[in-house]
Formats: sequence, structure tokens, C-alpha cells
Amino acid sequence: MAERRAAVSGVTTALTTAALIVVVALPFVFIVLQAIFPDIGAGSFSRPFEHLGAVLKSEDFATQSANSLILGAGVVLTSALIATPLAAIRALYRLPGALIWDLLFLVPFMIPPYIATLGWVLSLQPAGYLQQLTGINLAGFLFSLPGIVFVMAMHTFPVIYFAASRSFAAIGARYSDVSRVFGAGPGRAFWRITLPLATPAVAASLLLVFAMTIEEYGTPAVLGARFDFDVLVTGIDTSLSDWPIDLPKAALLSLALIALSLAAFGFQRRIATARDFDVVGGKSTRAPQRNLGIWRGPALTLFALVAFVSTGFPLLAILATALSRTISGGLKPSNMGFENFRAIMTDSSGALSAMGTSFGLGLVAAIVAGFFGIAIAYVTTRGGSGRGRSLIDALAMLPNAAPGVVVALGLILLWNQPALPVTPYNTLGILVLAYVCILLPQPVRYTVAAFQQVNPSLEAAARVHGASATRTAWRVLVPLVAPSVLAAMLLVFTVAARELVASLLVAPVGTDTIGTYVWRQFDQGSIGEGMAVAFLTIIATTLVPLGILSALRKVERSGSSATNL
Amino acid sequence: MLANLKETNLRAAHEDAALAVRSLRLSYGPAEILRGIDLSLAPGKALALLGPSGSGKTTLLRVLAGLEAPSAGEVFVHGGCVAAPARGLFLPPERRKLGMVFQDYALWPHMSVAQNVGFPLEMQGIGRAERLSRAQAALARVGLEAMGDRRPSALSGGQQQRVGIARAIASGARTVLFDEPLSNLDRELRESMVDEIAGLVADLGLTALYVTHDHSEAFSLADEVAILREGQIVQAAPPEILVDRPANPWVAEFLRLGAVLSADAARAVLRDLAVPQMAKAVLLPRRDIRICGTSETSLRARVLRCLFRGDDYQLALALPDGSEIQISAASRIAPGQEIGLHIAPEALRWFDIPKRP
Ligand SMILES: Nc1ncnc2c1ncn2[C@@H]1O[C@H](COP(=O)(O)OP(=O)(O)OP(=O)(O)O)[C@@H](O)[C@H]1O
Ligand SMILES: [Mg+2]
Repeated sequence: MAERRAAVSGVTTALTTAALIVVVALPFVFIVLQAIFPDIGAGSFSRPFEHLGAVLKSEDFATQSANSLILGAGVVLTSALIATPLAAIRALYRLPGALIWDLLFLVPFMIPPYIATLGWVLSLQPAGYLQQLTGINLAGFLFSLPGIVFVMAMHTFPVIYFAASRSFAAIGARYSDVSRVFGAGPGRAFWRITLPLATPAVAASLLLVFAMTIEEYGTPAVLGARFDFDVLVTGIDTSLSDWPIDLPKAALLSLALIALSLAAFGFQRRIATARDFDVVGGKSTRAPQRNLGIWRGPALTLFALVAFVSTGFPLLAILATALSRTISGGLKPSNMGFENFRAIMTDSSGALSAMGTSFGLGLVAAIVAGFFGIAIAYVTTRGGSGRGRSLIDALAMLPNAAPGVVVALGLILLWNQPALPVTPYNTLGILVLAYVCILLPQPVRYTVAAFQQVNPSLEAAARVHGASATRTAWRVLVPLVAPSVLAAMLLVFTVAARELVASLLVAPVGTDTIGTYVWRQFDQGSIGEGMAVAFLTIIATTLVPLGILSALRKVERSGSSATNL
Repeated sequence: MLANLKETNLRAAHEDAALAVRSLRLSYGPAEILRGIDLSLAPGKALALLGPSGSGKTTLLRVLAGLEAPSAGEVFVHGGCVAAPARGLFLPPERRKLGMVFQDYALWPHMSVAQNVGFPLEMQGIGRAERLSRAQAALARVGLEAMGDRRPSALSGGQQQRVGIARAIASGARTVLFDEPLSNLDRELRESMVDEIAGLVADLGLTALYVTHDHSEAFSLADEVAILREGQIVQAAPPEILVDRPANPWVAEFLRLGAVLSADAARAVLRDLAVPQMAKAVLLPRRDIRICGTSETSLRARVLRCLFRGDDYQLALALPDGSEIQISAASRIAPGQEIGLHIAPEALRWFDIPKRP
């Protein structure tokens, strides 16, 4: 019996590892190979390292690496400056409508950054909406380094806001209040107790923002192109898609990018584990009772301002464009109508089929990634032997450090090998592979956490009371982890359906996804239909998962007395 | 005129007290947590606050400390009014000069033990050298002089709470609030630490407000015990008086003083007894109940359980009306057996408040 179980879990482990190697490891191996052997694309290991010196010495490599670093640092700093005061107010004072502000600050996550950036371009470009409404022209600001930093910070600051407010609140209730009793004023309590204790959580979120920033493609591509500002991601894209195509250079830039991201993630892990005071969690915290007093008005104004600028402004610009008959017609009632939405329905420009393709691919990717997540979680948390576990763990988390453009490069290099008998290249399958690889860390993280929360004694109890291993998994484990797995799959669906850069690079000829469609429409100047698709996509990919999740929560709550953990 | 005079007297009383609250109310939204509390604690005295979970004990302490603002009423600390919403007065916690010991210790994890204890002194602007020596002295008082350089997380629960106590006394605060300081410790440690805290409070002449779940802890520490129920004080008295003359049937039951019967049940159970006119309920104090033969008494009981407790046996008995009572016995009596009980009529406590069903 025990032997059979070990054999079963051995087979599971082997299969999972093999799948991970194909989906995750091989693309990265080929990037490394390409960086070393310039002719690997022809299946040849000749002239090793010949390219290396030239690329490393090239001006592009130095400037683009430096630009990525500068951009990352700038966005981290700006996001922190915006998010920290908001988080402190939210956590330490009784803020009217606190939950609504939280919800509003989730919205930037719902808008894909490239779409938000297009919204900013439409608003701030010369003769854009801002100039039409107020006469102010901020184009000079938008198409500059501070402009890119600002637009990206508007997307990333919620990461810091949520991390900091959660940890400020836990610390405030448990540790900071105590220092007040022992004579510390509010300022000293914040500097001496709250801030040092929150440092690990906040620093971890800063590093996450850094990684998000250097991996982002859409925003630097749209804005940077106007003033020749290239970062590693856009540099890789250029080497891949502009003549003369330079695969070795793309591979080396990718390795530099992976190294930067890995450093950020590694650093984040170290901070999170080394200085974790375990201040979050534990006893339930009391709601803050401190009144804002005369600062109520200014605080609310600040929240409203940030919420409007970060979400309202780009969303309104997108909506206005979607509703405009012509862009040149401007913001006039006579220029407004539903023509663009009607045009989508006729599918004359391929909008409808792009949406169909993306939603279909998102669904398939979600299902594949979900099953992958379960297999990996099962092997890493329930598998018998320790061998292979850390390898699987590392492989599953590797894509964290790899932006879409790098994954796309790896897939191109791997699946164009002349020796391959069959290849998914130039089919929709390559997009599924890309999405699963890029997004795999999410379902793995959610599912592993869910598995870890299920106390093994729950399964033991089922076994003792007569259930076989399979039935135990089916009746106890699966129902308990299902909500988390489903939530992770929804996330994969949402992000995959609007993915941009990998789709641009590996989509089969003649196939459009939502991302590539919107992108091309914008490039070709027929912006209205593109923005209408963007708007419908935001609505669909926000409301549908939210609806499913809240329905799920209701079910969970009604059944929670039975399955209380 | 008369009301005015009473007002002045009350105010004078509050100005003498180390801690006092008057008509204190606190609501969270529609829920009223504290519902008109009057309390006063003279300097150097120890008051225990006893009450069921959720009755508002922690909330009351937090109001006194200034971590929570009352909705109405007044709070006095060391004779001065520190909170009075009617007058818009609210002194923040750091200016109330109190010490406080927390149920979850609340030691700052990023500071060493000595830094934790020295923090209140640092806030008073005391220089490093003096701070260290005073922190060290406070640690010595709780037997932890060797632990100053450690992190709080490297100490056991009991040691951590000793650090918490050292921190509360290091500042030289005359008044210390204790919020169930021992409830996270196991029983043996709890008993020895109650002794230590009592000794410390007496040695330093501290005024102590001590919240606890545990009756014996309250009785052994306090000069006076206040019983809190759903945000109101139902009785405040020295422990002996509390046990002797509980104010109502609920207090008697909460303190597990014995069986509380309604007047009708009492008539049926104690057949040969005259029930006073206004009486609605009666307490049969368990310390006054003796076991006797069934022929000697009209009061019968059936043994439900018999537990050996080392020194004696604890009997759980069912009275004829169905209510349960626990008494101690010198020898084992088998469950199911009928026994007779004797209680002197003058030991009975009559209440004119009905026992709640
Ligand atoms: N922030 C809050 N918002 C709303 N209600 C609260 C809040 N904090 C406490 N309460 C409520 O106030 C009541 C009193 O709580 P409190 O913590 O003072 O009780 P307690 O007597 O200390 O209980 P315990 O013995 O369990 O510690 C409880 O009913 C609790 O649910
Ligand atoms: Mg409490």
C-alpha cells in the first residue's frame, strides 16, 4: 500500500517535472544557448561567445540596462511617495469610506498598463482631451522620463498601498498604540515603532514594483518611442522584430533583464524572511478609532485626487475615444455615438474575432495552468520524497523573473529548431504555451498556499474513518482548495486574455488577440474601435471574474460552518 | 442646590482618586459597549475588574489609557480630568502617565529587552546612562537582569510578560493597568506570578487596575472587585463582601457561589422554610452546605458526578428542581445516589430580583 502510494506520487512527480521542463525550463535554456552560440537557430554550436563581446560593449546594452534601472528606481520612489501617506492615513485613522477607497485602488490592476497608457496619450497629447477641456498641453511632460515614471507609478502604487496599509494597521493596533501609553507622541510612535516594523513588508512591495516596472513593455514602448528612450524590454523587442534581426543580442539583453529581476526577487525573499517580525496576522485587530479631525477634508481630497488621476482619468479617456465618431471631431456631443461599438459587432476590422480568440485562449490557458498548479502543489506539499521538490518549486517560480518578451524569445528559439519533428509554432498552441509559462507562478502560489492551509490531520481523519487515498483527495482536499484554484484560474484568464507583448511576437500570422488588435489599431490611427474593444475587455475581464468570485464567496459562507478550517 | 452640592462632592472625590470614571459611555456605531460606568480607585489600592468575555473590560482599560475615546462621561487620572467629550477634552495616551501590561505582552519585536523597558524613559527625555541603569533595575525587580540584550522573541511566555511588567513600572508610573496579563500562561506559572505581581504592587505602593477572567486571581490581588456585565458595573465591593453578599442572582451565579433558585423553586425544595415577602430568588451558598443523612433534612440532592481533586472530592449535584450545584466532599459518593443536604436558614441569601430563566 505504502509502496503503491510512493509509486503513484513518484509518477506524478516525474510527469510534473517533465512538463515543467518543456514549458518553462527549455525556453530559458535556449535563451542561454543563443546568447553563447550565435548559430543555434540553425542547430549549430559553432563560433561560441563570438557575439558576446560586441553586444556587451555596444552602446545599446549599457544605455538600455541603465535606463531600465533608472526607470525602475524612479517608479519605486514615486509609487512609494504616493502610496505611503495614503496607507498611513488608511491604516491609522478612521477614514470615511475606507473600503470603497480600497476597491478603487484595485482598479488600476484591472486596466492593462498599455491600455491605461493609451488613455494617457489620448488625454495629454497635443490637442488631446486635457487641452480641449482646459487648454493645458502636457505633451512635453508625458513624452519624457518623468512622464513614463508617472504613468507607470499610477499603475503600481496600489501594490505598496496595500502592503503598507495592511502592515501599518496590524502594527498600529498591536505595537504602536502601546508606545503611546508609554509616552510616545503620534509622530514618535510612527517613526520609532510603526515604520521600522513595517519596513520588511514595505521593502518587499518596493522590490515587487521594481520588478513589475523593468518587465513592463507597453508603457515604455508607447511613450519612450517618441523620445528615443529604450529600456531592456523594448530593446529586446527591437532586436527581435526590426531588421536586421539580432537574436544573440536579444538573448543577451534577456539574460540581463532576468538577472535584474532575479536579483529583485531574491532580495525580496531575503528581506521578507530575514526580518519578518510576524506582525501581520495573529489576533484580530481593532478598527482604528482615531479621528482625522480637521484633516478629514484634506485627506479625503487626497484620496479622491489619487483615485481620479490613477483610474478615472485614463478610463474616461478610453471611453470618450470609444464613443467618438472621429478623433479629430473632439469632445463634442455631436461627435458622440455608438458607431465604434456597432462596427465591432460587424467584425469588419476583426475586432470580434480578436476578442473570441483571446477569450478562448484565456480559458484554455486558465485550465492548463490550473491543473499545472494543482499538480505542482500536490507534489511540493504532499509528495513523499524531498528529491525534485525544490527543483519543481524553482522551475515554477522562474517565470516570475521573466517578462513576456523574454518568454516569447525563448519560445521562438526553442520551437523553431530545425530538428523538431512537430512544433506548435505558428499555431494558437504557441500562445497557450506562452500564457501558461508567463502566468504559472500565480496559480502555483495560490494553490500551494491553499494546500498548506489544509491541515494534514483533516486528510488523516478521512483515512481513519474509512476513505481511500483517492476518495480522501476527492472528498476532502479538492473541495477545500477548489475556491483558491478557481480564483487563480480566473486571474490567469483575465491576464492572458489581454496579454500584449508575447502575443505580438508569437501570434500566428493573420491571428489577432485583443492586445495585438488594440495595439495595431492605435498604430494605424484607427483608434476608436481599438478603444471600444479595450473598454469592453476591461469591463468583461473585471466584472465576470468579480461576479464569479462573489458568487463563490456566498457559497463558501453558507457552507463555511461545515468546512470551517 | 442639593444636586449642585452632590456634584461638588463627587468632583472632590474624583480629584482624590488615582483613577475615576463618571457616567462613562462608549459606542461603536449602534453597539453600545460601555453603558454608564462609575468607578473610582484610591491611590495605592488595587481594583480587580471581573466580567465575562465581551463585557467591555478591555475597552474600559483602553478608554482609561486613552487608546479609545469615550462617547460620553468623564475620565479622571491622578485627579485631573483627561477625557470629557461634552467639553471636547481628550488627553492623548502619552500624556496620561500610566503604565500598562497587555494580554499579548505587546513587546516591540525590533527592540531588545532593555530597549523595550527603557522606552518609556527615553520618551521622558532621560539620558542614556540613567535610562540603562533604571531599565536594568526594573528588570532586576522581575528577575530578568541577565536578559537585557536579548530579543523578546527569545524569551518564554512568562519571561516576556515579566518584561512587560518591568516596562510598566520602569517609567515610575504610579498607576498601572493590567489587561489579563496572565491569561496566556499555564496555571502553575499563573499562580506564582499572581504572588509576584501582588508583591510588586504592594512594595512599590502602586495603584493597580487589574482585569481578569479568573475569580481567584481577582480575589487574591485586589482590595476591591468590580463586576462588569454588558458594559455596566453590577457590583463593586471588597472580595469578602462580594462573596458574602452578592448584589443579585447573576453575580452569585457568575462567581459560582452556589445554587440560585427562584422563590417558587425554593418553596418546593426547602419545604419547612418561610420565604420572605418580597423575595424572588435565593442563593444556597455552597460553602455553607453540609452533607448529611437523608433522614435529617428535607433538602435532597442526587449525585451526578464525583471528581477526585487530590485534597477532596468535587460533587456535582442535581437539586429536586433540576438546578445543579457543586460542593466538596471528604469521601467518594457514587453517581446516582441520593444524599441529604443541610444549610442553616441564616446562610441563605434572598434577592428581590428574579433569577433569570
Ligand atoms: N473595534 C470594535 N468595533 C466594534 N466592536 C468592538 C470593537 N472592539 C470591541 N468591540 C466589542 O466590544 C465588546 C467588548 O469588548 P472587550 O474586548 O472590551 O471585551 P472584554 O471584556 O475585554 O472581553 P475578553 O474577556 O474576551 O477580553 C465586545 O462585544 C466586542 O465585540
Ligand atoms: Mg479583553
